[in-house]
Amino acid sequence: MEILTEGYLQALRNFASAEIWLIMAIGLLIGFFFGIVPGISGAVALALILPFVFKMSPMQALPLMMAIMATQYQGGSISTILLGLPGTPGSAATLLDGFAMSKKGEAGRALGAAQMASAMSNVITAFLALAIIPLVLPIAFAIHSQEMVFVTLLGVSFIAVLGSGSQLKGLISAGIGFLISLVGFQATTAVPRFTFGSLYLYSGFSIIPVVLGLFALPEMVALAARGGTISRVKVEIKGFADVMRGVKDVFRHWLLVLRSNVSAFLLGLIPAIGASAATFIAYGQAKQMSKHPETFGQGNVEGVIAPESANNAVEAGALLTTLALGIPGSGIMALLLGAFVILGLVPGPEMLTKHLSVSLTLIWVIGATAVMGLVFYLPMCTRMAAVATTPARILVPLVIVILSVGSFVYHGVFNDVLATFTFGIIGILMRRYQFNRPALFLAFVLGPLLEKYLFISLKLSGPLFFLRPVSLIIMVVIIAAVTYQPIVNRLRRRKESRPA
Amino acid sequence: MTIKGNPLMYIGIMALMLVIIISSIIMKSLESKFLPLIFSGLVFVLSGIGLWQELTSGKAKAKEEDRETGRDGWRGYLVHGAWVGVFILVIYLAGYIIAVPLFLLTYMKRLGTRWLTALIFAAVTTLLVWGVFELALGLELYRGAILEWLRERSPG
Repeated sequence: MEILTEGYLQALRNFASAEIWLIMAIGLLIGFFFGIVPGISGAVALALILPFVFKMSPMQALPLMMAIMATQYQGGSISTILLGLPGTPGSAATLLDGFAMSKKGEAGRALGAAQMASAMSNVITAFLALAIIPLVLPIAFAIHSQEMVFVTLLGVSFIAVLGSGSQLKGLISAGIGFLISLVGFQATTAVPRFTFGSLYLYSGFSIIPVVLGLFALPEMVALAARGGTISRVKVEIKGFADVMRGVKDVFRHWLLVLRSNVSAFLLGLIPAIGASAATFIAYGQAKQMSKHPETFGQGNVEGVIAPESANNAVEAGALLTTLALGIPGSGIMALLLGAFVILGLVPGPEMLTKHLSVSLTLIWVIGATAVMGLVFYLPMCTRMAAVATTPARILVPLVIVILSVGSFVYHGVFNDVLATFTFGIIGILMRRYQFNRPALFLAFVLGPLLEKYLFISLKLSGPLFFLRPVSLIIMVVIIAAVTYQPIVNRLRRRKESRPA
Repeated sequence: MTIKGNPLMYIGIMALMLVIIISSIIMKSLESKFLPLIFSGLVFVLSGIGLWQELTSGKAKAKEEDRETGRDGWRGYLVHGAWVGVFILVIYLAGYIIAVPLFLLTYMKRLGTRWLTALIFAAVTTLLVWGVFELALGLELYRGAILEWLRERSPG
């Protein structure tokens, strides 16, 4: 209890500094830009920002990343509603009614509703997360090195199996990620592995070239290959009164906001559910419970409010799982986990014990950034569509320059730039053949921790270190997660092939 | 039968895993080879399953795959990937301060930007990169192999 009180107080003290508000404002601008431009999501923004945060303190770097993450959906909703192009995957459900409203001449109303629902949702989830932490804390205290071996495997297997695309490809990606993490000196024996005599590889690959190569470079090459302008649609927008009508709609449907928010937050706690799935679930729920379900898809404001309340909430839920257990719920959370490692923080239970105030501050940042975003962007959101029309011919070269400089400045070694290019080729191949990039990245980040905890556990408890209740439960969950879908598929095939 | 797309990826991964398995076996201590052997073995088996599934899943899927990753689809990736590759080569030879404006000017032009716009973006971005990293943060950007070579050869 004492730890908790001290954590809450310290978080409030952190939050009182002007520096953190300035950082949030910067994050707000970056997040909004990357959210609004279709094709480059918040994950690309976080990947690009990583090389520039390593010299910052955790209390500077993490709020910046959190602010980017929290505002990307507010930006994403603008291009979704005005241009019919989801800026982020989590904005896809907003497209159904948001764009339909734009075509009906209610673009301002849809924008107002989306911005207000997003902001309100962030504030509610921040309070939900703060309230739930005391319940999660005992779990964090119960996890030791022996359990951490399986917690690490659980996180990777969840994102590999439940992430988008084929389960098999997810597991292969995770395995390759673990192998890449093993390059360099082995921690306990100091034997170099897979270094091929290269001095650069002795310390293994650093996170920056991997993240930039896997996430940012392939997106840029794909955008350049697609070519042209991102948007071709032009929508007429009425005055600010129309935007305020949307804001009022949110207050009229406060129960819908709360319902979508809480259900998405709880879904977010389950790793790898993803914003896309949660928003469609919220959309479905809203349609089921609406008085006018027949108008959904034709421009019903409830169809904008529900997904916009859900997409932020699901990330807040995923953040809690990432902080408490080191199990990232989405690709963005995997990148955030990478940031923890770069900043010297160990992802997992320590974030709720040793660094509780940092975690609590991050939750406050989610709520505060949303309110800041609302104040900054509500009056301007109708004009923001211009950002989404930034042509690929300008955007791509600039981002490639940023990522080339970013990959160099981290260590000041040119080999990092070469490594970025190499991982870029791997990323392009993975993107084309739909392998799971977040799974590879997460396994790469958690690989060294897995090896460390494994050998500590072997030393402490011998080869039967896994015979502990929590470890056994986690093992069962991992086996269930990996085998569930193949078993279901097999049963379904058998049922289909049986003669009627 | 020509093998391409997903099956080719699986074969490539399996070949890579074989190399890793062999180089892990000859490692000296058990601690060093333990996890590499487990993970490479696992990925090898999973890729084998994937390959088997691909080869037995019928022609429809293969056709769809062909359309998805056909020659036209790859051309764009190869062209723009090559631009990035050349950019990195120029950074290696001439350093950031020369490579950045050169790349921005030529690549923006290649993507269809007007000369003047490309020139302005190239100049402003180079100034920003130099100003932020060299002046404000005090980090020395990579100067390039040619300059390094000239530095070594110059007396004193």
